[in-house]
Amino acid sequence: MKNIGLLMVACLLLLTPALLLGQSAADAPAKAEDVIRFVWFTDGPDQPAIEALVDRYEDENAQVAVDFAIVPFGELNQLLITQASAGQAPDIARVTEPYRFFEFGLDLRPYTEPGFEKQFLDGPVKLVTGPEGEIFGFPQDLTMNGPFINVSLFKKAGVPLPEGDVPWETWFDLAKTVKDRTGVPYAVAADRSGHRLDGIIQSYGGSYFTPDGKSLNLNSPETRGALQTFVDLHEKGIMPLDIWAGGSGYVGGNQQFINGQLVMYISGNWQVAQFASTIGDSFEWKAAPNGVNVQSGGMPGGKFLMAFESAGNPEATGDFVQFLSSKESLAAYASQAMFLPARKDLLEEGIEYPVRSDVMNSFLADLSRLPATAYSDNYHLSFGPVGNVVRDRITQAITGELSFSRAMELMIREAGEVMR
Amino acid sequence: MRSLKTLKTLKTAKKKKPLSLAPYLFLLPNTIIFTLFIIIPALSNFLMSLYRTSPFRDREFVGLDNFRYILLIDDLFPRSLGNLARFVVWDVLLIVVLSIAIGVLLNQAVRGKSFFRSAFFFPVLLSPVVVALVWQWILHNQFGILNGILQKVGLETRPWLLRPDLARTWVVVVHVWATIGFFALIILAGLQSIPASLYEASRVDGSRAYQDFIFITFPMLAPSIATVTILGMIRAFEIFDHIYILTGGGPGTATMMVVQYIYRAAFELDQFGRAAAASLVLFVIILLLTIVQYLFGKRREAL
Repeated sequence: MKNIGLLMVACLLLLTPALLLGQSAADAPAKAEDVIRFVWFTDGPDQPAIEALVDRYEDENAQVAVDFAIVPFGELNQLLITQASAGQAPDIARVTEPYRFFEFGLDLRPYTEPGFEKQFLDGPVKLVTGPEGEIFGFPQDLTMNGPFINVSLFKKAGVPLPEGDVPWETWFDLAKTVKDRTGVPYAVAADRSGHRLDGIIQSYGGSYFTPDGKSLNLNSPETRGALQTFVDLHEKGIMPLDIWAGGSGYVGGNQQFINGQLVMYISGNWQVAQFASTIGDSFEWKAAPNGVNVQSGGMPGGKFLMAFESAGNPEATGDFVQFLSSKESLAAYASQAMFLPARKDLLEEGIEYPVRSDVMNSFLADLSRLPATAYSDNYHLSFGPVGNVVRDRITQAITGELSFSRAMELMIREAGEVMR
Repeated sequence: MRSLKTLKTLKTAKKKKPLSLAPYLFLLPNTIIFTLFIIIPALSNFLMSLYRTSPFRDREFVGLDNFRYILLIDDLFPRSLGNLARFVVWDVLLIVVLSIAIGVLLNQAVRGKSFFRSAFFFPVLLSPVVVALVWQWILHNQFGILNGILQKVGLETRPWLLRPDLARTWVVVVHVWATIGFFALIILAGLQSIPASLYEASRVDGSRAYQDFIFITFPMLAPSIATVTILGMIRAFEIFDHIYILTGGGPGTATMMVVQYIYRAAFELDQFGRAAAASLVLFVIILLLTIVQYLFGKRREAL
């Protein structure tokens, strides 16, 4: 009897989770027929824009519920890889490097209208095109790197803003003068990112990869020269250690700029909406063209919506993707979030932005004169990992952990290993 | 005849022995979870360490090449191991010394004893992320409280997390602060299990307080100290979240530990094979430590 009692207790323990699961399923309210799991990371102003689209889609499609979740950008890649490896991928996610997830991607061609991908710019579409021509998503917005200037600080320091094409060195010297005259702690800061660094390198005629994408170009005199300049800027105190030595992965300087403590901030157009709302009338700011040394610099970029093989309904996922990528949806999204669209028709017709169209146009103007290597770098399949190697190795030179030449040597070796 | 009888008795006893299925059923849920989440991932990790992986190519079998790369070619893996060794030595040393000191103090009959015990234990309850963020605010170069106070009293400020030597010191301090309460509790339990009669006898013999500590408290605390040392070492070897948030492994790679090396290889460079190989090396180190702890425990039991 004692044993039977024990057996019953053991069985009960085993069954408890199942009972609880059954109970919660029974108690759950009636659900929509299809649930689309949608993972998003936010730059700030895009959140209300995408939420409005999600609400509209749910209103128009009562049988579909969108399970919308926001995750921090720093955790995004790890989270998606972990979930996808466990067969728990979301149906759709906003990503910056779609190729990382190709093995888990859902080919959208059977679930979207023919020629779906042709509506977007060719360069960005390459990044969501699989090796067999699969289309795993679409470019939702375009971005462009460039510097922001605290105009009020320039005025306060009595330093006139330069006109026309100006090399980076001129900008750095002016920013240093403004910093010294106004007493703010930071002259120039660039986001800690291999992407942002490549934007500066482009101005000097350098790049991470050769134009055909087959080899690394890190050892070219142009790239080395630009990287040496970047290290020197930290040594001279023009760029603060706080950003590039102050953490791992991506570290932004947006907060310092918003607080009015930074003269020049090298980032990109995705900051415009946030700056417009948070800075308000606190001080005058604008976007400036990228430095022009041997050519104009900057890097294109963008965010993509990527579909995953998941437990969900691929037809429902395809329909949602069609909705989000439509001209109407993307126009509303780009305008509210203040992004540049990647749809060809919208680029031709233009977008009406609610505020700071001058700043957005400045980025658009720079976008039109980007060097070809900026595109070939950005759409290289190894751009993300190689950019991270460059970022980390150049940080070692900035902090004095390695000499510049040793850091370059190790950077080239590790980047080569990543590309193998 | 006698032996036949014994055999019969044994057989009867064997027959009568009830089927003991219940213990296995009790073990089953844990075994399933352990197999699913520990054994299978560990085996697939081992397999992965033998492959070169890429998000846009099929994985390629490379044998021990990943181990060769991290141990013989890569500079960052030895650097992260060196950082880790330095961190473990200081972290464990401080934990052992401070946990004994705090344990002894908390064992005294003082007013507010419960308050102090809770106060020392409180940081243990905090998430590592919260701990690291709070300390980051305290130590920030421009806007940190510490530099603010130093500036107010006319002292020179320091870039606490931006200079390698200072950053290395602070990651130890923060980790010790966050975990010391747990270890002090182990020491406190050890102190409370020492029979009072030993101290009474020594007092009769005219011993002094420091002699009590050296000849009674310390030897009787040896098992607790060993536990604190081994547990402290294992936890220190696995360090990640405190440092990842506080310094991100920087400045440069000054505070990059092995787990962060693994994280970077896997999630920032897409080198899952290399990451798997590094995690296996870390596994072997922790396994050796666990074996030492096991052998130490067995020896103690034998004594």
